[in-house]
Amino acid sequence: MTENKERSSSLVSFSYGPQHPGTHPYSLLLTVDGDRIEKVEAQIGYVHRGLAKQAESRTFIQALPIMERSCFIDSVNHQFGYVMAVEKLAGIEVPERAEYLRVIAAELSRMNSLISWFGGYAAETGINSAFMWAWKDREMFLDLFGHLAGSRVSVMYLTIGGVRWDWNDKLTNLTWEIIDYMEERLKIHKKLVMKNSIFKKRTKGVGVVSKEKALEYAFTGPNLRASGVQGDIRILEPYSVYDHFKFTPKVMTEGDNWARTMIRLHDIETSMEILKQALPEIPEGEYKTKVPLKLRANAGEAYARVELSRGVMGYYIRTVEDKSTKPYRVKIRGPSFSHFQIVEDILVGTHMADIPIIKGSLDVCPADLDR
Amino acid sequence: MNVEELKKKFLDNIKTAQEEKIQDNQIFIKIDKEDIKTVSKFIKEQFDDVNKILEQVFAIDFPDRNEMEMIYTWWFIEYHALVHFRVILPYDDLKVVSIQDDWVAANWHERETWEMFGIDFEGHPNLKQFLLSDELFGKHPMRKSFKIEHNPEEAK
Repeated sequence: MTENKERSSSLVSFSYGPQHPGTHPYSLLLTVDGDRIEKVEAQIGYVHRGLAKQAESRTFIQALPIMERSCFIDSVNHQFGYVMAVEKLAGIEVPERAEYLRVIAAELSRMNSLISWFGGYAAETGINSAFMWAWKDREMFLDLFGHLAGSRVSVMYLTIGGVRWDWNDKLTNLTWEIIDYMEERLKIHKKLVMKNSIFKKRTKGVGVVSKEKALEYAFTGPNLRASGVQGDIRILEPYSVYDHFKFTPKVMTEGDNWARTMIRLHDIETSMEILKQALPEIPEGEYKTKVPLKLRANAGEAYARVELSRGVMGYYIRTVEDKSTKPYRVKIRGPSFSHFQIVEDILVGTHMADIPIIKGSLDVCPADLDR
Repeated sequence: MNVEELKKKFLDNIKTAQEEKIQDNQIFIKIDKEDIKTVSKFIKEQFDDVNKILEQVFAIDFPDRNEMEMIYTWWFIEYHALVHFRVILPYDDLKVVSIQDDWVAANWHERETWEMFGIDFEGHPNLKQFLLSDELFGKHPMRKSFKIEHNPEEAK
């Protein structure tokens, strides 16, 4: 009885974040017993911008830049889902050249997102050199986006009916340069981080998410594949022209931080595979269909999904009147919203020092978490 | 199991299920709100051969019809199929049974819907302030009656 009393008095509650360097703008309300975590309550909403509500008062095309803001780091893929949903709703055909250009831009964006995550994650485990190196690599992608669309981070490359700018030889050369460069760099990253014994100790067998738990918490993307389920919709339900390429996203069964890191590094290689096949085959033709600025869609609903670097992103768009110029309701299904919920479960029983490692391995983007 | 067989399985086993449409690999089925728990249990227990996740839960406000719609989406991964269940909630009874004890993923989705639309989820353990700031809390900003103060200039 006394023991219990002592035990309960040793419990301390405090807020971990949002100013903590290991968190993004969200906080965890922790109850700890010494170093051991007893209870976690996630507190999110620090960057809630009401994107879905904002989209309701804009035309379909005006809503494009907001959709990119669900998370800046994989901006092309975020727009990809939205334009697909609008095209489905309004019945717009996209030329094949545009589809190829979309896939190329989306894969570059995915690689950009994954390498940035990798750098950040290495920093969270204490390998700061890898962080600097990975974010140096990211510059290559940003420069390419600068040439492609004029802006480096919020690319705004996709538009309804196609892409905004045509491709050219300079971009092809830059992309090949990136592929050659990244192939070498990935070897260095693997040597520096994945062979590091501290990294191995902190990630192997830590933060294990079983297959059942991953499904229960609606995991998608690399997190689901790390727990043993092939859930990459690029091969399961190919959208755009993904069915033209041969690639195999990796599946592992461990479900720990290590597996999630390996899967993400492999995803960069998968993206390079797709780029190598897509670049020589870009068909001739139009790069966009002419779509009126005041695009009108009939009453209906459409749900389109894309594979983000983090998981499945879905956009549901509803219109209630014929010839509507604005969406009546937009629902943005972000993968991070489902992924982050698990921290209330898997962090319990671990140590304080493991929080950034486990949380980081889920690749949660707060902007896509709050929307 | 393909999309047609999956649809048939739901229509045969859920009493109030009405087929609405099939778009590509997506099935839209309308059910009474009393049945949502039956559906969630049915999906959890009857499909052992497939991995499935609860992809999303969300609502749409229809002030003209005095009702709200709720959509529950399940993804059957190996069937390559999505099933959307539509539930209608009249304005004078904005209540539905929570399915978070069957599907943990529903917890946050329901909490978000509660906060943004004011729909009550019976049996949900943790309905409290979540995404909204203090000034907006309780105003259900995703309802159509809530107007954004600074609208962008509308396209003429």
